[in-house]
Amino acid sequence: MSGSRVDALTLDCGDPKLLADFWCAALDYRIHEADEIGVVIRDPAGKGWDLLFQVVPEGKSAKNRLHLDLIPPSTMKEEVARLTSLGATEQSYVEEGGSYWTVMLDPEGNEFCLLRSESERNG
Amino acid sequence: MRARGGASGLLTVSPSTIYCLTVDCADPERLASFWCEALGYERFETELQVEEIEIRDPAGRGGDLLFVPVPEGKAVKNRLHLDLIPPSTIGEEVERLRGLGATSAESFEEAGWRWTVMLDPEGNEFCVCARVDGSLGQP
Repeated sequence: MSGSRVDALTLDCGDPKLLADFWCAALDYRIHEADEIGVVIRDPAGKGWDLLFQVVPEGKSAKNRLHLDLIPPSTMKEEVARLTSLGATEQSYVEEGGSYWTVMLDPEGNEFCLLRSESERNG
Repeated sequence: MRARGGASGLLTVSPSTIYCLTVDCADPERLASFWCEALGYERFETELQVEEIEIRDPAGRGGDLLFVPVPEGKAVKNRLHLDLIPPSTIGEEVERLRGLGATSAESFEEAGWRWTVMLDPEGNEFCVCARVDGSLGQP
């Protein structure tokens, strides 16, 4: 039997619209659906996972055990600046095992990592 | 999204793309095996450190899953979780996933969806979902 397929990655949040707008701008996604459960955003190219932002009463209390890793289109530095202007925060820069990445927080403090771009990896 | 630029007028600004969803865990081997079976994913050889395991959809859909060992255990409900559409009915898939090492908790129905909350072998929450009208998955 074939397995289940991933329909969406759901993020608990306080303000679905705030996060949906940030992540739409970060990933060039579009708002697909908004209802009483939350806001779904979708990759117009149909490649990436849908993201669903659902309201929960509790706030974030610990480092998330799941986080997204993103590949920037140009350079890590330029993308850190662009995402910061959209409402993200740069948390730390990490060098490890011959690689490097930037840990960032979205507008509700969810951790995500910005990896090296294709050209930075090959350069 | 677009930004104004140069003599050509509008210039497309490329966005970031999702490479993977990283999962902090105690036992990458165990979780990678579970999620490969759950999703039909395959291990992907990388230059990563050996204790990290990356898996991906052989059909190339969505991002990869990367399991990374961390010293701390899970303390609270995860704020991110995966929603899965079963290949059969929710009930059949919940049984299959239980056989692979997941546990199931409550089932819900709201806003045209039915879903069962499950925990993977390290207690990470995920949902098996379908539209009540059968237009997506089989309730």
